[in-house]
Amino acid sequence: MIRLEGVSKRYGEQVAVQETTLAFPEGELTVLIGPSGCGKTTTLKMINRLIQPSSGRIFIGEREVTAVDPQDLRRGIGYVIQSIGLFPHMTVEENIQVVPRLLGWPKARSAARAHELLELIGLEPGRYAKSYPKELSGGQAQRVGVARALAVDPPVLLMDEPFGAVDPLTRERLQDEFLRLQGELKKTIVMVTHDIDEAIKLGDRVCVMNVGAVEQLGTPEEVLANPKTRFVRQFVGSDRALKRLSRLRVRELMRPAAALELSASAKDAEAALARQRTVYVTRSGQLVGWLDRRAFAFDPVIERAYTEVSPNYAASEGDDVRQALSKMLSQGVAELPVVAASGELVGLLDLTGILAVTVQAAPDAAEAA
Amino acid sequence: MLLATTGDRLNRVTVLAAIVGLLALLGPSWLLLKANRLVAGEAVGAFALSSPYAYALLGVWGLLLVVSFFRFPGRAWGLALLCTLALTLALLLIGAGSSALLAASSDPERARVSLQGGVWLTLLALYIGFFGTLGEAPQRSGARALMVLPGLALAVVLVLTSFGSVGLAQELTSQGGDFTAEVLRHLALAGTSVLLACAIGIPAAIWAARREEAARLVLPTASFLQTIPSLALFGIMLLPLARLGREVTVGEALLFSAVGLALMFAALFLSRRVSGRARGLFTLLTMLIALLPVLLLTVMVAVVLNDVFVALFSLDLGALTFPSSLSAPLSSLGVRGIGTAPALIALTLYALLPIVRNTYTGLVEVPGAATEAGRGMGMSPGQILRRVELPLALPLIMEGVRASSVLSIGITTVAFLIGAGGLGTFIERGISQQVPDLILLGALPIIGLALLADALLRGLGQLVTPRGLR
Repeated sequence: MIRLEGVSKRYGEQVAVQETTLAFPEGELTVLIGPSGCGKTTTLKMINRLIQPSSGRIFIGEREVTAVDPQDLRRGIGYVIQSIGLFPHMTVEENIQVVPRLLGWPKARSAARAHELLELIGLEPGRYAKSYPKELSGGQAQRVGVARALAVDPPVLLMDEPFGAVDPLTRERLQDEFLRLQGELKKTIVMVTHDIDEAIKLGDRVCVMNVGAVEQLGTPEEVLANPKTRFVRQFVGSDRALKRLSRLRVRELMRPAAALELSASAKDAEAALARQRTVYVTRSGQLVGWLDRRAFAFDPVIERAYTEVSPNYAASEGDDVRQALSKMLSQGVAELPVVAASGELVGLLDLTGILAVTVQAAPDAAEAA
Repeated sequence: MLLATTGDRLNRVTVLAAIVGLLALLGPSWLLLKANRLVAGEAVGAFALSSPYAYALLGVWGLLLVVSFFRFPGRAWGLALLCTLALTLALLLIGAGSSALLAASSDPERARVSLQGGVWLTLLALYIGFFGTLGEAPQRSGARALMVLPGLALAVVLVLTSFGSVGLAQELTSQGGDFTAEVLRHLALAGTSVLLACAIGIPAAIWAARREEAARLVLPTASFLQTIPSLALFGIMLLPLARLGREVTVGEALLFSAVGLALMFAALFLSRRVSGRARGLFTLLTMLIALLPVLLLTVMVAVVLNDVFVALFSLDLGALTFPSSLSAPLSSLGVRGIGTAPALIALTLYALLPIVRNTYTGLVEVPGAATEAGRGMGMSPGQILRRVELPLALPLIMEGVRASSVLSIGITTVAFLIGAGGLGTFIERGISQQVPDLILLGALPIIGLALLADALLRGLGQLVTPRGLR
């Protein structure tokens, strides 16, 4: 756990961070977010003493950071900077081994660790260990930057806009990968970003800052559903109801779907269609299309009467609800079948279900308007 | 590379080379026959030498001209072969022509043959020819070396074996061992001054890259030093150095330097504990205290290093002598008003600028992300310098050392003015005796050495450039 107790940073008359008291819980990812100049980066850099606090105390666990030699301190904290900052004259492997080498690890051990990390981030060591940073794509370089920060398995990771230097498509993929990684590693992470969507997607907790002070600290859901101050409400945006949906997974909102196997008898189909207007059609569990009353009445053979759908018509159970809603709107339907990664039909998501969770935020939305 | 892009069918550069070569060959003056060393002579054209080499050379230049117009796979190798052939034939023509002229003269003992415009123009044509060939050659350095080096090796052999009758070679013979001695002296002076300039310039540039005030002091100083005329510098140093050499003993000088350095380190140590504005003042004070002792020590190191170089180059370490006792005057070490000491000081000051400027630029241009990453991962300032900044700046630093070396080999020519010798000696003798061949005997090796240093340090620079930066 990282604790800041009454920490301030002043540059002459200018106050960058003001009397801030904060705690970052163990094993969680806390995002510091705010407009530029709000003190988020200063706060981050005071934790590993790249910036000296003017007053106040900072603890990592029970250790006060000012009591430790700054270089020793930093070697024990993973650090990822915005522009990644890989050393261009060192190979990927050498870059990852920087901190192990500084700590005097034996060569064999640090080399083995570098290979292990390359595998962890999905870069094949045989192919990439001896490459130079200029030979990597932006996304690969960013992953190596993360691997380098993890080299000595530090309990704490500081990340300064770690996904800032890559294109939006790659960023989304890297964020997903990173979430998966963090799910396994459970590091205590403090991350700075100015992208509210990134904060909501990645953060276990979000800390909104403005002019050197914390405006609100809470889970993304709390911050979105219940902005404490006018500034936070403005900052998270008028579409915060929509943003909250991106925290929800489709599988959390879906309900069971009525399904009919292609091989089912006409009688079964009749029975199913008596209960509702349309049913989804599957072939050994895999979604293949849907069948409605009118078509079946016209030609009562399932295989001829059903309407085929393409695989990406359905929502994935792992998608966030915001993506699924967007799919509904673009396809002009009020409900979507939900499939697992295997393509198996697992349920359906409809507007009623989405509305049920968004109305909780409605009073605030009215207030904001 | 600029003119002969690989896509072109026509190699404009080698066309130019062939035309220049043909003009030189067909021109009226190839060699000059003089009845003796001093009188005016009579120019002889290449074809007047009645040597078959002239016709062969004509053919090769013509072929080069034709080949330059038609592109075919591997043409670069063909061009390289033709240039090498032209080089060989030109040298053979000079050697054979000189012998023929001498033999036909009325008094072969006294007569001299000098190289004339045609020869120099031919050399220029060959240079252009090789340049144009490399322009369309593959980028592999092995292939490029293979195109040029055999020709150069052949040229060295031919010059050594067949130039006996050329006036230049006769001047060389009459200078005897002097020539080798002056070449070694020249190299030692230039080498020592570049080494010293590195030892002073690189730390100064690191300091300048760290602190803006230092940059405002160091960079203009290095530039200013280049503007001082060498003659004035020699004049200013003459008396102080002479007195120093006469009146101060080796022991005293060593003691003074040691005390000065000790004071400097003590002050440096203390200045780490002082903070804020006082620290800058402290640093300035430290520098003032250390200035004279460090200068004195540098001069002593310079003259000794220079002697070591001369001894090493001449493979005669026995020639290295040191003062027998600490009470000997500094002049016994070589610190005098004239000689190597003032020459080395001046040359070192001139050699500083390229090194300081390139090191400074190299360090300042290290990406901020790299140093920040280093700091964030817990590197100390020294580790950041050694493991991040210097490796990244190394290609530029090497480029500075290369420029400085080429410059120094050229400037060392003036060292004879203050009695330090070097190849300038022959130029001066040639001027005072009005013997052009003697001037060339001094000038040509200087050009050769400069080109050699340039090539070697370029190669070294490539070698030390980290692969990730290439």
